[in-house]
Amino acid sequence: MKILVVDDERDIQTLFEQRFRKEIKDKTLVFAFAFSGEEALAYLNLHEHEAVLILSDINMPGMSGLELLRQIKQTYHKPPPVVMMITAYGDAENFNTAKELGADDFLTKPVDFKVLKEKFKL
Amino acid sequence: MIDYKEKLASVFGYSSYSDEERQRRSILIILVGLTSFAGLIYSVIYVFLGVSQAMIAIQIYIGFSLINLALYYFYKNYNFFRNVQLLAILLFPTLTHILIGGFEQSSVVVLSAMMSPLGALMFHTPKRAKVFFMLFVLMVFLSVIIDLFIPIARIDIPKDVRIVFYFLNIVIITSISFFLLLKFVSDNEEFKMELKSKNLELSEEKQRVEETLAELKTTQNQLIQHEKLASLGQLTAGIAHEIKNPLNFINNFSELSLELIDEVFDELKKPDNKDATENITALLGDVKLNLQKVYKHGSRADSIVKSMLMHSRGSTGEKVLTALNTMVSENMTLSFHSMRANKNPYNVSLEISLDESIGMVPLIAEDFSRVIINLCNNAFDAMREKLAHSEGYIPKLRVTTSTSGSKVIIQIADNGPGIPEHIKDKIMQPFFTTKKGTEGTGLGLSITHDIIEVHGGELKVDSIEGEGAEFTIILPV
Repeated sequence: MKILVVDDERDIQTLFEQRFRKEIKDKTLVFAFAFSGEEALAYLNLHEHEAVLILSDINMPGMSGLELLRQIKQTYHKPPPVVMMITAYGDAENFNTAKELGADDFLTKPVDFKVLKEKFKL
Repeated sequence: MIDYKEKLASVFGYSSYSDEERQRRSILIILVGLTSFAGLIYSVIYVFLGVSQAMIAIQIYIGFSLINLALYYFYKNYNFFRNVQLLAILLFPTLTHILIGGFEQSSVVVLSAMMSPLGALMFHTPKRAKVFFMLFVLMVFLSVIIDLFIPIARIDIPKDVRIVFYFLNIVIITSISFFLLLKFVSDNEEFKMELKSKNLELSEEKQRVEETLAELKTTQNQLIQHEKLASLGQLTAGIAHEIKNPLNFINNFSELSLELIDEVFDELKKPDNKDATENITALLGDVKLNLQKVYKHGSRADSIVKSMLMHSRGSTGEKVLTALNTMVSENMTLSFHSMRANKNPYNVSLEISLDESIGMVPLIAEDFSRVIINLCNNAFDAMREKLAHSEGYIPKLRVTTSTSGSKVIIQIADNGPGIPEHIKDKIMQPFFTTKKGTEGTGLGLSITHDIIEVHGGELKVDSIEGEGAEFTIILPV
């Protein structure tokens, strides 16, 4: 399964690569990283339908995670990739907006990787 | 009397002058009238005494004065009027002296020329009065010369008449001198009293002003504190986000390291082989990397909390060497996240370009961080405004640091709606705000400006309406 992680924090790559080192080793999971909404869209354009799951931060300079979500859900109709939003705010407003825009799941920082792994197995 | 003077003022066209000036001019005109009148009485006395030759000088003086008054009436040239009149008062007694035939015959009438320098003291400047006084002395000297060396016709005036005129001349001239001096002294006294009461009033006024100033200062401090708290409130959400990000890494990397350490223990339990050592080395390498990340993000959280505390706490007012680039970028990020975390967040492209040659700069860190936050907050607010009205607009904030000679330059530029020309010189004023309702206190830019001033710096604004605004901070290092 290919997962695109979108976050403006560069260390997120190291974190995911270590957290999922076993899965990466036996190739059950393949990760790609984008450090902005724009970069994520560019990646998706190049590798259409490759990423099955997109994990995106909401608060990023430039295009925000919510805007990215809206564009993904508008542009990539079939098969629509699963988009999970990650945010530092657990507030209702962000949550509702994300849901309205078609987010499949909502996680808050600090990310609990046990929960995340559970979700991946689904 | 007042009506009479007012009438004089309107006839001679000096009604618009100050009370004092009007008074002076009236007195001079009255003096001209009185001296002419007195001259007339003198001449009547001379005629009565049968020495009508003495009248000539007086008649000349009266005629001269009337012509001068008429000239003043027609041409309104006061300066000419007073100079000519004072000259007439100076020359007339000498003329009488000559016509009657010396000191004794004229009963020292030349002494009355003293009225000319005295008049100059009243109606002219002290400098001019000195000139008239010297002329007076010259006239007296001339009279002496004439009396001693030039054979003039001496009118035979009876001794008792001469003595009466001695009496009159002495009394009149000394009286005028005395009353002038008296008026001067009493005016001075009055002036002193007035000054005293004015001083008293002033010191009361000063005290009142000082009290008001103290009150204003207290209010200002409260307002600044209020503004600080308001901006802190706005920042809280942004700060939460900023702390959760490093916390995310700290939690996860340390938990990961625990797992890795367990794996190291597992490897150690295995019988000694080459693979185990390799694996342990690799695992410990990861642990080291993770701990570095933990440390890095811990420091980051620490500096965020520090900058938050800086905002809430009162300023120490002390300049401390501060890493300018870090402060600028941290506070810009903080402002960005607070915008994202508050009402109506929107997308902005952030462009930051830092001149790495800028090192530590002496700054009052608590205060200066507010400068960056205020300017960024304003930019975000402005761009939100434009976003609501224009299609296809991509908000962009550009923050730049650079150096120019011994100065550091920080620029914060947005591509928002810009600042309308008619408010450009008002934006730095306290309480001026374009933000509706309770959104702005109108103190942000004013405080920003003050903080920069305290640092000996300068805040410049460049804006093209519709295209954006650029704030430039120039700081001496």
